Amino acid sequence: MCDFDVIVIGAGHAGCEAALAAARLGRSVLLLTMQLESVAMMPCNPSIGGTGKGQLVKEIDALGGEMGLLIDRCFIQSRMLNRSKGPAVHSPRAQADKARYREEMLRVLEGQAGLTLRCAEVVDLLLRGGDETPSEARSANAVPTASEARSVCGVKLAGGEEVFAGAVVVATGTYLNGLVHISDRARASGPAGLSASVAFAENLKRRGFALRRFKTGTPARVLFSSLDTSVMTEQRGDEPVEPFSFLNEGKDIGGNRASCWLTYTNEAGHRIVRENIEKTAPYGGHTTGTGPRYCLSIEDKVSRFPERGRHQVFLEPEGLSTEDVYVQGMSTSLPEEIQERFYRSIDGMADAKLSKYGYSIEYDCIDPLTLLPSLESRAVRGLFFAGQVNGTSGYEEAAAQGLVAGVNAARFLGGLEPYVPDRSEAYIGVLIDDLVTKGTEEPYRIMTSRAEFRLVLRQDNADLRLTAAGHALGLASEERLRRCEAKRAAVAALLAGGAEAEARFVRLLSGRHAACSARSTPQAEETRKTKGVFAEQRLLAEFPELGPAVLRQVEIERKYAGYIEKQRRQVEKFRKMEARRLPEDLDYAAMDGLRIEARQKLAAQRPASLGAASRISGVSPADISVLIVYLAQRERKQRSANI
Amino acid sequence: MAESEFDTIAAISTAPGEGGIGIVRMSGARAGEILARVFVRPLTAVHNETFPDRAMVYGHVVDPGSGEVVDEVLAVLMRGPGSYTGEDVCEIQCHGGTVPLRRILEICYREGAAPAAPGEFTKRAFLNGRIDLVQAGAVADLIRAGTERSYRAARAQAEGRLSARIREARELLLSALAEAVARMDYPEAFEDEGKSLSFSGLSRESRKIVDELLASVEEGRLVRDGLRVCIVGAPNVGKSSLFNALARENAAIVTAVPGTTRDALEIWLNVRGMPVMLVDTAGIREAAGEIEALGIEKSRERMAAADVLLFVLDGSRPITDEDRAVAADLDAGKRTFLVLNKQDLPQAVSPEEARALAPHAGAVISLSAAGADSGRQDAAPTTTTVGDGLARPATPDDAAGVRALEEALVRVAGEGAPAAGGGALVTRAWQAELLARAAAELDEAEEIFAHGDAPEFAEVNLRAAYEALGELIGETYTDDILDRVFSDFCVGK
Repeated sequence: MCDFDVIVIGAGHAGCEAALAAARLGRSVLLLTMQLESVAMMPCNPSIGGTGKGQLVKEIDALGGEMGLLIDRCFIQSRMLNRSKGPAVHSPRAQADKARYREEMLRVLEGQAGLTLRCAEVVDLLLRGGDETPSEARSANAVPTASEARSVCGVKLAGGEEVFAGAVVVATGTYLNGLVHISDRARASGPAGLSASVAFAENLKRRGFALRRFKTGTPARVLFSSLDTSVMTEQRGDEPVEPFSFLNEGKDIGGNRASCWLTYTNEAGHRIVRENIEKTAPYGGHTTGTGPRYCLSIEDKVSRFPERGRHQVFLEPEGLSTEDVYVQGMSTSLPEEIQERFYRSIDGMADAKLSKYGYSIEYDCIDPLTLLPSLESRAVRGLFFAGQVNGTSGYEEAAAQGLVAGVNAARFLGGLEPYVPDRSEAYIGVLIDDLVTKGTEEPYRIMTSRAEFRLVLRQDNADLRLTAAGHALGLASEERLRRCEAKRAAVAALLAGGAEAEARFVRLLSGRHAACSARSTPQAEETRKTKGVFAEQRLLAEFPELGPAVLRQVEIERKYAGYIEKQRRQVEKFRKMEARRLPEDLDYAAMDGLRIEARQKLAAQRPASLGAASRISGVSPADISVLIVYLAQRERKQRSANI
Repeated sequence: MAESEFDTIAAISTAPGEGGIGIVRMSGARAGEILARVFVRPLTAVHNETFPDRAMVYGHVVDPGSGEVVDEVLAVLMRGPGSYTGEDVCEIQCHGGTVPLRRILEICYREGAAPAAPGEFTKRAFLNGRIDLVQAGAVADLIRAGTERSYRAARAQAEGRLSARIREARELLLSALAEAVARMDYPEAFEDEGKSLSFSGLSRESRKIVDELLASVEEGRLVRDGLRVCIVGAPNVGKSSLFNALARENAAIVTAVPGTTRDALEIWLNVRGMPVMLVDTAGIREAAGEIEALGIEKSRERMAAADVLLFVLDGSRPITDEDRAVAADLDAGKRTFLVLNKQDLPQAVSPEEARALAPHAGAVISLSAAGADSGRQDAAPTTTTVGDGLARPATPDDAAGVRALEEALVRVAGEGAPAAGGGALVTRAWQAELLARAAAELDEAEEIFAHGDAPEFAEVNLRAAYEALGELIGETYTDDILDRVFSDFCVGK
């Protein structure tokens, strides 16, 4: 007898999206957090979006997730990065009011039917089936046979209470065995001084999950009133603000409410860092975790790029109700007094008051190669992992995985095939495929350069790509679908109708008030039913604010038609390889034609398709040829056996 | 190489360097369509749909780009699934010798076929259930063996100049890519966001190397496939004597046969280890006789197909109008040597006068090819036999003169002389195809840079070029781009 359908462990960005998605699919969900302060907290930079990440947020939104809608309510500044470049890398980013973001998420969670939020520490998983006794020899990486397959049936809380559920999503972020370093001192802690989850990490290990150590870092916060912004460059947001959520497309969601500031380090400051670098954990030889290369601490920057006389410092306010300012680019684990000296050496920061010190944090995470593309564990049925615990970094990456894990936990309980977008459909697909087929040796960050089909995976068309899927899953609302399909039809009609149709549309757009008033007339109804032909009128009658978005789609599709067409052909090829499924029970070890390395990698990872197999490092094109031969041989044997 | 098992693939399926007939084979869904585009049948239109199944059809392969007739051929289309591979298969049987084969294959590539990987026809045959192997491993071994052969070839080349040059080009592209990626994903790390990008320069640098290597394709082909040398000249200047002299000095690889089109004499020679297809056009004008215009046309075709022309003049008599007529017919873009024959007789033509007749000629070689020259053989080329059947000359050949000519030919083929590509030679069609692919991608990148509005589109092209060059030297690992981003650029939050 289950208490809940789904239990989600951790209420960060992954956990919140997972819990909301599962609840919205009609499941009863228990969302557990060790402390309410952790809910949707942004322990590092106060922004949502950025290159690649902005695309993820738009996709989460198109599928019916929460992040886009929330940031549209809580932003204090918004910019489109890469505006000087082409539309494929235009990436929205917004500075968030951290406190408000958290409060708004709490409100959404509390208002969600079927979702229970509770403060409690999980110390263990409840498993059943197979060999339940913990064993050192048993590895979570090993694929269990059907008879010994274990499944999850709940969690055990600190204090001994057991809560039962059919599926569990682990979204523990950086809390698992968290260890915070400042200088050469380390203490067990989650981010921002919150408590770490130690017992759960130990029990996961005991149950055979191979854990590894990653680390990340954050800079100090300084008080805005202590900064001399007169020597800095003001960085304003874009006007008008472009919303993240497609539901807000064309709507006025308010303007920018704060500026960021650009200043620079100097040689004097670099000297302070160099002279004290041995006092930090990484350079003093204390940290054991692997840090991301794209998130260099000031210690790394100074030692790896000694020729640079200065580095950029972006000062980003953390909200309207706080004086805290995030010192972007300056993460550090120097001793507190050295941090103060260093930050005060930065131009315009001579009197800086530090409200929080920078630190680096190391934590346990799993190897994502042990996951299926659904984010379900290969070793334990019904157990899903999402977010930083999978070795990623970033709120957006976490939220994207949370959404997918939540959806698939619900589908698992309903006996449905998991939802897994592929690399040609979404950045979410790129993220998940990279994780479960290539793995990662450092905290993984999405990038536009990781998406080989980025010309078709744009932030501006995430709705056109994913809304239908989101609606089919049961997440994206009717309104989302209607808006999206109206937009799609209008774009298609304009593209087919050429410049003439476009001119007519622009005229319609300028007279859209008239169109608005005609909205409820029987003629408008009739128009709505006539598919395609009057798509532009229909769109403007129903969603007059979508006009500019349609024109932008048309402009992009026209201007870059050649490139987009080329990429669509590449996508077709890609899909054919993805469609070749690899049976679960293939005995790779017995395939003599494969090189040893390929045999081992394939046996360990069991890729779902030929396409996925070809992306595993260590599997060569020749190995893929051999695999094709074995598959054909096998199919023929089965056919003849059936006759 | 074929990008996937779904491409239509093409390859030469007869052993290299042999005479007789050669076969270009295609397999895949587009085989019939490509055939219909390159194959022209006299008086009858050719359509993929109406092409007869499993019947030999006579016609010509015509380059759809230039309209040039490449060769007369027999073509057969075997539609799947009953074909060898189970897919639509077509075979184009053309004249033996590597030149027509290679031209036809190149045209098929250009029209959309992909080069076949080693063992790929067999693999497809197996996959489509057309061949039944007792052990699956047999085909796997076949593929493996093929791969290892190409691996060994790649490794051998890695020691050579080609790989070194390709690595240089890739290194430039890697830097270009790293910058493109860093700018795309870390725009804030570039204080000059929006300003001119240095990766366009790097891309152009690498394009130069690719161009150099592409320029060496022809030279590389000469090294591997040999030279096609065509003897031209007015009647009775000693063309056949020269033909026989060269044939006597060099063991013939293949017994001379009457020209496949019955109007020129061809022979394969081994000139210092280099295969040379020597063509004597002697018979063309003279033998065509009654249809003079046709003879001239045939002669021109032969000249057009040649790599080198030997323009023979009779040094013992003043330059005639006929000599001038031949000279006027010469293609100034073709490598040409002037051969001033009959040096054993009093000379009436100076080398300067000869050169004035063909100013583009590379060298004037004076020699005397001995033997019963002129009319008799010229007039009856189809009955001539060579090799053991050669008529022995009354006087010995001018050995030094013949040697000088041979040396000139060997130099043309790139041996001992600095060739294009800094000494690196592209000798294989698939290498040329990959280079051409890289060049096309870099062209597209260049066009995008010129527009300047969407560098991330160019990144796609740079990456494709980088991967094509990687395939050339057997390296397709692409995570090195990110490694480079993080080592070269100070990016991060």
